[in-house]
Amino acid sequence: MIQKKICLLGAFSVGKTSLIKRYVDSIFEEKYLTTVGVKIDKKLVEIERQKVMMMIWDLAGEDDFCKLQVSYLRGASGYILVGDPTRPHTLDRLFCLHKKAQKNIGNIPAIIALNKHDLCNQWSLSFAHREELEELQQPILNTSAKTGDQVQSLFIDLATQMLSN
Amino acid sequence: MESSAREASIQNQPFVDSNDSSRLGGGAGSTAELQSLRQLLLGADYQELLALKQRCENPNQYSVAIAQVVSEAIAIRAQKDDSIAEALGPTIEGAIDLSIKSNPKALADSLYPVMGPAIRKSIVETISGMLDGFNQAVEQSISPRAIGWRFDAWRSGKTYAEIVFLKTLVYRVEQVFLIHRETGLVLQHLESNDVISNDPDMVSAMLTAIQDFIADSFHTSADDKLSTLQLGDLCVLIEQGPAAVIASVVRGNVRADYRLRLSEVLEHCHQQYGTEFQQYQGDSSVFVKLPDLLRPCLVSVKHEERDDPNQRRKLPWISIVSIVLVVLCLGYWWYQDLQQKNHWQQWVSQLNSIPGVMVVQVEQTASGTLIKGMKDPLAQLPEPFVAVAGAGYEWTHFYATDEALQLQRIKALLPAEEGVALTFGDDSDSNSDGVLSVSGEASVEWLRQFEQAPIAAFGVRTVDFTNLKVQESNQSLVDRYLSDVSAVSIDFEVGDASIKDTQEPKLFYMATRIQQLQQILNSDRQVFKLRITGTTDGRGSDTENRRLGLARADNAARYLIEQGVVLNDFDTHFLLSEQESEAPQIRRIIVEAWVENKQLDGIRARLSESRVLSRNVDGLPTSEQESQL
Repeated sequence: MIQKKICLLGAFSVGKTSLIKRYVDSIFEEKYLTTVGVKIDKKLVEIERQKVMMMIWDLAGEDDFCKLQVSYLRGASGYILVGDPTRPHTLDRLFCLHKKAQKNIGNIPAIIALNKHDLCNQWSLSFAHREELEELQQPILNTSAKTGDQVQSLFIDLATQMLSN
Repeated sequence: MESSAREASIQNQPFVDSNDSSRLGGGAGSTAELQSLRQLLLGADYQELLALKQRCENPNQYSVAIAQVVSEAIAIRAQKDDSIAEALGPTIEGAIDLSIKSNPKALADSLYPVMGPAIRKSIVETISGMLDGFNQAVEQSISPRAIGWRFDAWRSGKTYAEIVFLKTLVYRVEQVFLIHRETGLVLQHLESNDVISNDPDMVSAMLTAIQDFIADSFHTSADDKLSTLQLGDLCVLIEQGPAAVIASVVRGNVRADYRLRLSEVLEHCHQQYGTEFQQYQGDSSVFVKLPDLLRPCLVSVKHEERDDPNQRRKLPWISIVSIVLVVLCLGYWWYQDLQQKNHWQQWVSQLNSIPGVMVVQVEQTASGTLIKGMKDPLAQLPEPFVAVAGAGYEWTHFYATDEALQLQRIKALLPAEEGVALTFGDDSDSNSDGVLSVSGEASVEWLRQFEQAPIAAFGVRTVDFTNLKVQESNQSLVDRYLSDVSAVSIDFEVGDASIKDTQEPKLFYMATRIQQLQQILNSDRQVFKLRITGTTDGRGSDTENRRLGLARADNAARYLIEQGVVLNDFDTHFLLSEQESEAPQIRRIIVEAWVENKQLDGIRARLSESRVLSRNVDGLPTSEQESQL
């Protein structure tokens, strides 16, 4: 068994904690609780007969007043960037966080989750956002913590990337 | 001589020269020149240097040289540090492994002398450990101190375990984490025996996050690291290393020297796995030695240890006292049980010895002991025994054939008679089985009733009257004597009225009986009557026969008087035979005797008095007189 640290990054209220809760505990709660500092969970997965213990660091959402504490990113083997397309500014924050992460911990496996896919009719992604997302050259998954859509794949894909890295 | 030999040896080593030449890149001529130059420069030392070089390069010679000092060198180095042990450890392990694989017997033979003592020591240690553990358990559960602690726990609202810890331990390390500094992943986690630890992966990650959080939040310098977290009596000591962090969860007041130990352990970990820590990619399986390296951090320090280290091996007196108490209790219980069993056995045998009682079963029930058996209604349970504590009885009635009980039944059939003793059977004499002995003095009436009683139904086979005297009543004696008297018959010769000698005893017997009878009779009210009738055979004349018959009766009467019999009231008669018989049995006297009451027969008595010894010749005066009266 090997252990890997991964981080979830994103703006406030994009659903980072909900994604982890859905993945680890298979539950979804409508109630919103903001994460202060960091919250850590773990999940054991098996990728190609290799057991991987993922230590999932759920970092507090970032906004203009509360910056991400990059020290939490140290030692991560991969990270998930979470955005909420119903609120396009969260994608700007996503791009910003990606740059910050790359600057601090280098080029490590990353995956982009466009969350709240159950509300896809409310999504308002501009063309510029789409282009910028593609420029990142990272896998993009449309996830929903509420329905569980693509949540498993999100973590499994990242784990697979980390192992092959 | 020595110098020339050295030269010869040098010449025999051409490679030395060739090496030198190749290194210098010169030809054969320049080699010779160079050698000359060396000899000029170094002089006599040159030869010695060459010899030293040769020794070093020749494996055989070098080995011989090293062999001179190798053991001393090892000894000197071993005194400095443990590097020799560390270096030789794997080799020795490999050698032993190889030896066992190739020939296990050799090693087994070598170890044989130490195996026995080692096993014995191990067993002793294990038993001692168990005793200590038991002692500790007893001490912590039932000793006055433990009860005091429980009271403290109840009073203070803390758990008992906390109180025990506070009272007994200075401090105890509950968990040790070795955390990868970069990723926050746990490299190794150890915990004390009875500590329940939560997910070490998560704790490790959170500890890292907390350190980051504090460092980021309070803008400390890069060198400042979190070293202690304190919550109540729980403390997390964190020791930072270049690639790994050791975090020790301690309960109690940790001593200063413990942090030093943490540093040393962390250093050892880095020495062992420094590179692996740097290149760590999440695979902790390579760190096989970490548990042993971290083990020294898991310590607990007790009050007793601090006060007096010798007390660790103190006599486990609580265990000994407890065991002795248990043994004593068991012994007492066993003794009581035995006593009780004996008591019941004795009681049952006592019951069984009572005639007509037969105990079949003794049951121990919740309410006490229940005795079941059969009992004859006549059997008597002695009073003190009936009240034996805790005993209940369930009797089925039956008819016992014990002789004592049969005797009771026989006695119940017979009228009470003083002076008569009945005994039935005798345990000491088997011949007396079924023999009813009647002794003492019994009346004839009682004896008659006894003979009529159905005593055979009670198992009586024989009745023994040997010791019985029958006491007759006056009336029966009178009756018997009267019949005795009446039964006397005196025979006579033909024509002779005199009493024959042969007949005298009969008359004597009659006289005796009459005298006895007269003694018994109440002389005031009763009077003895006697009538003697003489008879003859049919021969001869009636006159002669009348005289002869009367003479025979008179002779008999006279004889009685001569014997001292006082006859106040008697008759003598004669009776003529109506037959011509000559049979001897009709030449005799007939005696009739009876008793009359005086009141009734007063007149007749007086009349009779006047006729005493008178000769009545008509033969039937009495009947006439009686009819006149």
